[in-house]
Amino acid sequence: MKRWLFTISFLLCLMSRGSVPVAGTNSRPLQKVPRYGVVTVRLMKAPGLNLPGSKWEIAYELRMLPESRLFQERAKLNDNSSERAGDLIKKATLAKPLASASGQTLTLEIPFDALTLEKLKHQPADRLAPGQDAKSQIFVFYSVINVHDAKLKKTLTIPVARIWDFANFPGARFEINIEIGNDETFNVKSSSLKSRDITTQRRTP
Amino acid sequence: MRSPRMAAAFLLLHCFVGLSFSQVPAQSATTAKELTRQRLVLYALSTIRQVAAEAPLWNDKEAAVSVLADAADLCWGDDPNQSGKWLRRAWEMANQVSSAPSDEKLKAFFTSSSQDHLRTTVLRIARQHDPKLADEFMKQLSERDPRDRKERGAFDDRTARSEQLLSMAQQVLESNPEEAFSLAVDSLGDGLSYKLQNILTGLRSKNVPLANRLFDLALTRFNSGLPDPSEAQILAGYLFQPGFTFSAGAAGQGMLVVNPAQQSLAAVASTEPQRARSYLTAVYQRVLTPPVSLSSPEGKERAQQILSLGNLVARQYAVFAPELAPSAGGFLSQLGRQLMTDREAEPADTSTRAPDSAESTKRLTKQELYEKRIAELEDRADKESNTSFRNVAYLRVALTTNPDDYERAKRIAQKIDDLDLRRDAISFVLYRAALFFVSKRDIGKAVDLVSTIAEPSRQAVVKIAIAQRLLASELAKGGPGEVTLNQQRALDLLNDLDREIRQDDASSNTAKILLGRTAVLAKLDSDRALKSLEQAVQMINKLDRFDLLNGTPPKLGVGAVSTSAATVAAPGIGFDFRSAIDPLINTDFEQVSAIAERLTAKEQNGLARVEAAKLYLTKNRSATVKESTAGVR
Repeated sequence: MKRWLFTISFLLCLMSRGSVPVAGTNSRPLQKVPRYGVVTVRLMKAPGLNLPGSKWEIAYELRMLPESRLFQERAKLNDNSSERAGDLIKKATLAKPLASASGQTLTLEIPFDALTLEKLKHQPADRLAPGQDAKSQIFVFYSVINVHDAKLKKTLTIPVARIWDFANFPGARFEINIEIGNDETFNVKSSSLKSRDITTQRRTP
Repeated sequence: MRSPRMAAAFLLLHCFVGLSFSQVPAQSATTAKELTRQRLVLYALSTIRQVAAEAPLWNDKEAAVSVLADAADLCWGDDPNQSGKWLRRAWEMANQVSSAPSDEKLKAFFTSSSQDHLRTTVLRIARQHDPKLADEFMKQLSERDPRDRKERGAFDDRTARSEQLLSMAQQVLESNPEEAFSLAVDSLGDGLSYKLQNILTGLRSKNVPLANRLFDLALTRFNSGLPDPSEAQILAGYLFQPGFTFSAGAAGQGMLVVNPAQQSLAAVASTEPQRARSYLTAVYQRVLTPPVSLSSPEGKERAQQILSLGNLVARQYAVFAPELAPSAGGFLSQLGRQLMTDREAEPADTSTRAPDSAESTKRLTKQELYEKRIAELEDRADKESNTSFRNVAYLRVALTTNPDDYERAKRIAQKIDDLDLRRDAISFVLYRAALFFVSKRDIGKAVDLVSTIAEPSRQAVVKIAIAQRLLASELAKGGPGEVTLNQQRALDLLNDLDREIRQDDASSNTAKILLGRTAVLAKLDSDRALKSLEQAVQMINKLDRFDLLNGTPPKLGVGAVSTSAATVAAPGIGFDFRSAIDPLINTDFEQVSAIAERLTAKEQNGLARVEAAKLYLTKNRSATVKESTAGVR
């Protein structure tokens, strides 16, 4: 009995640390699944970056869907779509002043619920194998970033939507870096979808 | 610093021209005007040589290659030896230019780079003046390839060599169809490339027998081995759907490129049924019937490409090769089934084909569909709970409206909560509408709108576009009185810009606006145009970077929607240095050159001076000038 109890407590302990070994048909053995995702958004450059009065705010949604649904949902992944694809993990708003260095980074910590964790645990070893794209999970991040620049004396609205494949971001950590020029143009660089063969188009095996 | 050098060159040229022409017999004495022209031709050549000598030391290799190539082209007749050296240097330096795709957003389609474009320029000039040198360059290219790029676009040409040959063919198609034919035939050595379709269609509009010969040679090449299905797409597009080219991406997804200039042409197959039949037979024998292994990713990709081709040509068999139609159809069905067996059948695409009860009972007109779509999008935006997302949603709906439906767009944009975004959106839809009306020659509506555009740069571009349109001949049907009136209206619009463009607001867009204004003003008043050119140069000197040769309009879209600028009608003016000086060059070459000298960045200074000299030579150089320019070399 003591041995049983010890085994159960050991397993619980492992789970609480977020390291969940998974074994199964065509799944990755001993795959570690993060308990939350982190999106780090940095404002690298802006005319009024360090000025008092400069501030920014992000409204975001993190969603997730299996790769097999990308084709069906492709219209919602279009830059011009107001609809959202995937199941909602979290939506929130975060704001900070830009006068100090710490304010120039927004760190979005997004905990995964049990259902999300379950889906993440069952990643296929070969997502290109027949039927496995139904298990391979893709994150979809929708956001609108409003930067009020005290030097430009105006607010710039920067929508950023990205899709990230869990297979290539097993730590669920993503980055978005923004630069705003003196002419009010902006440049957004981010973690990018890494599997070149992931497509929102109809795919045959 | 450059002025003394310029003065010295002028003095030298004056002395030299004086000596040279003192020997001309009295009976053939040229007029003062002709002497001036000859002096300026010599000055232009001297400028080009001087800049070409400096260019290899520049940091901006693109500019250097461009100048060296121009110098070689313009001076070849007088000094082939030196010109050959410049061209070789240009070719070497092109290797140092970035080979990254020119447009990151389009790299899945095309990966051509600045390096490719520069190589085309150098090769075209070599081919024109020294074909052996061109062959040497082409050989180097063939050896350096085969296609050392990591990523390829679905519509890239087959090799760097074929890309260059077909790019050159494209450039000479209008002026020399035979040369374009010859270049395209050379490209067939590497297979059938994407640009071949454009050449075939373009050639057909110039010379049908030549286009037929090229098609026949391409088909012979196609029949000579196991062709790639994408090669069949090139000929299918030419025969059955001019202007459209289909391909399949790495993941098997369908991709399409449209050439708007060719999309409304009649299908060639209807007038060339025998060629269509030969083509379909070749596709049947070379693509459809050879076995395809689905056990490898490459095999699956080929199978997907064949299916994509099949979608385009299947129905053509019934028309042009009916005896093959059942077999071809059967083969394609079988291949489709094979591909689907490994994969769960995908659910129907409900996102785009949702049943619509209204549509099922009544077929909506195009206008009704438009109204319905905008209403749905607006309704969806109304329901968005988050303010930031809602603002962006309203913006997107406003931009989805048609350009002439600006009242509705404005009403929707007024719902945007954020003041700056709202102003930007409203200003943009009015700007877009005004340029739309200019493009439709509805100047009255454009004039009504221009004063309502709040953003000064957008207003300035519209005023320049209206002024340009007012000066166009087709609007002056009312006689000389109307011409004068239109000229005055155009001048008033351009004068307004003096008040609106602030010199302290330095940006690439403002510099472009000043160049665009110069181009239109030059048709009315050269003194004011020169002043405007000076202002542009002063503005460019304040910028870290500026591309003098890029004639595209200023980027005045809404930042929050990256594609918005692409929805605006082109103003019909070049916003580059060349467009600005073109109307001035015959009468004011020296003044233009002096203003170009004031550019502080050495690359821009050199490029601008060469551009002015090149333009002057193009318009004024003639065989009557026998240059003996050894003294100024």
